[in-house]
Amino acid sequence: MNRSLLKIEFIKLRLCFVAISIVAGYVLFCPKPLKSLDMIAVLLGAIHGMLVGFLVYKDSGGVEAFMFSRSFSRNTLFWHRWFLGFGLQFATLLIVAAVIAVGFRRWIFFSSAYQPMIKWYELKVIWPISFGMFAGFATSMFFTLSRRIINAEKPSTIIKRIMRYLSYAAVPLFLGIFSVFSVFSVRDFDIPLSRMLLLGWIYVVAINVVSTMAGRQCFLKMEINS
Amino acid sequence: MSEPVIKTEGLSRAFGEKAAVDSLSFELNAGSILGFLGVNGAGKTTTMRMLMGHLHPTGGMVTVAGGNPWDWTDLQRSKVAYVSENMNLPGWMRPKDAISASKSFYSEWNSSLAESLLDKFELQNAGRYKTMSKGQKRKMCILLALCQRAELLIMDEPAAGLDVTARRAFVEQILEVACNDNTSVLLSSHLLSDLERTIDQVALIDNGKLIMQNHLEDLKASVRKVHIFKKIAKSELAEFFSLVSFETSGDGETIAVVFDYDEEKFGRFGRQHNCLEMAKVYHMNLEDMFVEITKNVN
Repeated sequence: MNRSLLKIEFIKLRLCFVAISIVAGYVLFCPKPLKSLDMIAVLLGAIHGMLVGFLVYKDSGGVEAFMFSRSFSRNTLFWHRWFLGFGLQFATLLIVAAVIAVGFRRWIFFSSAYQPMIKWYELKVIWPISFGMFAGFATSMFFTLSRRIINAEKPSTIIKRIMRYLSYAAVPLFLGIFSVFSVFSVRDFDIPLSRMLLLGWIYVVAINVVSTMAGRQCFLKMEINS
Repeated sequence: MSEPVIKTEGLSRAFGEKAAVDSLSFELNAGSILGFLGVNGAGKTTTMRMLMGHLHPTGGMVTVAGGNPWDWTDLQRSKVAYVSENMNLPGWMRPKDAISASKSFYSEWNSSLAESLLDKFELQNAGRYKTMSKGQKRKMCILLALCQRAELLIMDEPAAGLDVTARRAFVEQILEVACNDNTSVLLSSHLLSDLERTIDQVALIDNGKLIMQNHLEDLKASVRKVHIFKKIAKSELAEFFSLVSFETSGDGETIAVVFDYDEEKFGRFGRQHNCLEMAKVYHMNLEDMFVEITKNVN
């Protein structure tokens, strides 16, 4: 890993600190006990992941021409960005864990009836956040990269553009919807939580693997406006 | 003989129906400085983007630095430096940041040249990239490309926006880098007087097609403007020379630009048409040649 390259890439992720603050703020100030099946946590995690995926892989115009002309192959550049995106998500999870484990949340809700069980029990909220985060990151990475290919190819009609967009997005979209559905089905259909969480995680891993592989292909093939 | 640094065969790229580059074949040998000329929209930038692996060809093949640019390894990519009009550094970077990052990118980075160019280009106190003037931005990109110690420099309009002093320093530096490091250079510019002082070969493209590729000295030795104070038929002159352009005026004068001028041949032509004493032959600079050739092609 080249540290200077990581630094250049990291600085463009400044906006992510807003998302990190929102996720950490939710964990800190949520008045109800945080559970392993918290849909707001899933949603906030997904927004965070999507923002990271977008910012890491978005077309930054002339700067992309600069980055793609340095001493790195496309493959190297892709994995540096991927590593940074994943790293930032793990950093967010660490911050969230620290908010609970260090006792900030317990201190804020000192008078709450739930107070005695806040610390360790609520650490389970990391699961729904990371669930949304990783699914969001992978999906957003693929959407952003496939959009860059579509934009560069300039399909002649809007219908062709939409069709191509959908074809690129079909796999992560399908997996993404299915994984969210799996979480809802735990709540609505009373399926054993542990089984559905396992299934959900299998989906998240699948989304990440498929989107990363497909995203990498897009990254290796996309044209750069230089 | 060593492999050419750039080799294209039938390289093509179309945008929709329009062919921006059409079956372009040319080579650049190690240590050469090739001026890549053409009018606006001739296909120079498109070609350079394909050479850098930033744009897919729709046909033909391209080999740069020993490989297909789309499959370049880290090492191959580090051998090629690129400057383009659309290239920008991250806005927060100061010159020192850019140099320090580049130092870590390139094992062969030339720190002493970087220091000297910072002074020469007056970039020491230039501030962040986003606050720099257009000329300063261009200088910064040129500095990074020159100090990379690349085997090949691909530069698309690098001198656009530079003042005269900076342009002169740039030309000197290109020559120095090409001589000292045996760097090959592909240079596109509309500032032909600068190019003429720098390049040793010239390739001219128009409508995406290669019109000619030649050594500059050979070209200058063979292209002449001929002014004959007598009306001569085009076919008569064409019997002896390849014509770039030909015109006759109403008052019986003939002005032509010929491609393959030869003193002895012109002597024979003059004696045959009894016009040797009525003719003046002029040398042409690169800019005049470019204008005449492109005018004729169009």
